Amino acid sequence: MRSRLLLIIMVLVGLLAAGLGIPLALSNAQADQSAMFTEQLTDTIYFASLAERPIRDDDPTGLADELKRYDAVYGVAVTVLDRDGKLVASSRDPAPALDADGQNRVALALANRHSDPDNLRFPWDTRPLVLAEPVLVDSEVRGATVTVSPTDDLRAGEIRVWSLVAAAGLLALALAVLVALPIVRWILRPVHRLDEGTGRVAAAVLAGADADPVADGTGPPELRQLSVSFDRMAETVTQAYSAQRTFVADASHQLRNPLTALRLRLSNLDGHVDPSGADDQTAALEEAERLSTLLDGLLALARAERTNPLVTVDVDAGVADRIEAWRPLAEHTGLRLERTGTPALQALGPAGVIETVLDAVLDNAVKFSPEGTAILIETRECDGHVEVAVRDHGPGMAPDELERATFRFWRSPEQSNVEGSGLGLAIAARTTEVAGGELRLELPTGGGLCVVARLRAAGGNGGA
Amino acid sequence: MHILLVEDDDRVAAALRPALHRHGMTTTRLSVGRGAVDHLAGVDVVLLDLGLPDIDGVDVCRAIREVSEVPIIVVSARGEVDDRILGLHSGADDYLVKPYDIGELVARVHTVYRRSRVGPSATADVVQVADVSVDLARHTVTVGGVSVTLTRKEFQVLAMLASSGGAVCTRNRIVAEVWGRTWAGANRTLDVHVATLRTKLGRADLVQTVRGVGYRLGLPETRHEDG
Repeated sequence: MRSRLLLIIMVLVGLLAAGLGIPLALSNAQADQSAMFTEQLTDTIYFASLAERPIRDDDPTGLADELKRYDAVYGVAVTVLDRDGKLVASSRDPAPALDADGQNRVALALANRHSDPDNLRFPWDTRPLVLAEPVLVDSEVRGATVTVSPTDDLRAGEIRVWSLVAAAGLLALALAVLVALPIVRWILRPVHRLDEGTGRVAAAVLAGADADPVADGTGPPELRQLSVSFDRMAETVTQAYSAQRTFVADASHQLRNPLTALRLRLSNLDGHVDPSGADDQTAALEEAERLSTLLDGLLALARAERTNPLVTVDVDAGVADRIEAWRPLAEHTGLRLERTGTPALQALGPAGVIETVLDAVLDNAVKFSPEGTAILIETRECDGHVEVAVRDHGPGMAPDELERATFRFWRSPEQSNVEGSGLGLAIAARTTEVAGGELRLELPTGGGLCVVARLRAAGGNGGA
Repeated sequence: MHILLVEDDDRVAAALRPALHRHGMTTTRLSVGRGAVDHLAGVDVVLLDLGLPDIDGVDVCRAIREVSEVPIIVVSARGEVDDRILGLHSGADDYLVKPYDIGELVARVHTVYRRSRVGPSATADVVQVADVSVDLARHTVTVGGVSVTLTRKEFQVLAMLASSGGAVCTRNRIVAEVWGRTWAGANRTLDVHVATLRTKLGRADLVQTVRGVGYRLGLPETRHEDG
């Protein structure tokens, strides 16, 4: 936008400079040329009258000397012709040859007509200026004088003036840039601040902090108003987001006291319950436990939606730690946990991101994989990102479920009664997203499900 | 045993007091933190809620610690790591997150009480149950004189149950102490370890399941040791 605004201003100033400069240069050249024409015409007429007597007397001896003197001083070749166009006298020997235009003028002069001024000559036109005037003896045409003057001086003058005009035009353009730059900057400053502000607001909203205001009272009034509106919107968004998060956290905390009381009351029934109701009491205790697991999950989700500072995470350590933790359970149900892929990768993320993601994903993989199958954990690096992929050979998902699976509380319709809060994948997805990555679900060929956590790579991955 | 219960929520207090009474304890309840230090006479253990209406529970904890060595168990709705660290640093002996299981609460009360009376190094190095001997210092287990090889985690689970002297250890507590953190598969992993333990030891009754709560060591001769 900045270069476009500058371009528009430059084009306008350029048009202005051309509109003024070109006519100025042309009229200047025209004036110089007609001055030379007039001067040359005077001299030609003078020689025409000088040639009257020698032509009448048919004695050109003195005339040739006169012409030669003039030529020596002014560098203008003068030739006198008789009525038939034959040479009478010339300042040069041989007499200069005439081009078609010159011969035309001679013919006009012999017909007792005068030369018209030339069209404008451009500096690259090297033809000399040829003028012819009739020599009249008793009002009768008896011959013609022809002057052939070089136009070098005239053209040099033209070039000088035109260069000056062009230089002035360029100077005007340069001044225009100098003046336009601050103006363009002034116009665009609020736009730049808005642009930066958008990035800051996104970060601030996630971090739960107030965004710095964008409006600083500079720039054109319309843009100033836009900045103020933007600040208002950013504030509203930040407040709404933080209110939602605070609500989830507060609700999780506030529900703990009633839940504590409920559990205590249920425990107090121990020994007072009819044997036929003992199962119900135990089940009620389990429900209370489930509720408490759900609260823990909600709190974890609220935590995941807050940006924690990004640190360099050792992928190997996280993967090894979680494989060790899940191995007993996996082996108990006859599953193999296998680690493949690139070792020694470093990713950017909140501390513990690898563990959080693997816990959520391995939980599902271990729950749903049939006995005797393998769960593959692969780490790899691709275009500046680190990917941790977990592939199982379980039932997989319907293609239209892949996207919804990371929504909170989503459960596969077939698995709705399996234990769990339905928050695991949502927490994993949010944790990777606030770290600038993503969690993606794929259906690999050969069945099962592949969950890929993609994180930005930390600088200095050895080897790649 | 006399318990000072500092808890602002009436309904929690009303549910907790009969539970503690059933386990042979007597209670005094305060609904505010101010003045807690004046009620310490004759108190064996303090149960302190951190979310009090008048002053921060952490300050109450420090104030009590300045005048008395009485064991304090912090009971709080806030269970994040930072909160736990803050609680323990301000002088609490233990930290329990709501909602808790009454069995676990009672077990912890007994533990801190016992520790406060006999000093920290009184735990026996070798726990003997019938013909099973658990050497806590050397990390060895023998059944009928025959050495049994356990993995590190399996031993830690067994050692924790053994040093609790027959009191119930809740799943959460075992997972937190043995694995250092909890995760989605933790409970099931614990079950797997207990199942392996039972197989390896060949004594199915030694590790008993308390349904919905956790595990305890079956110690018929020491079960009613605590008053």
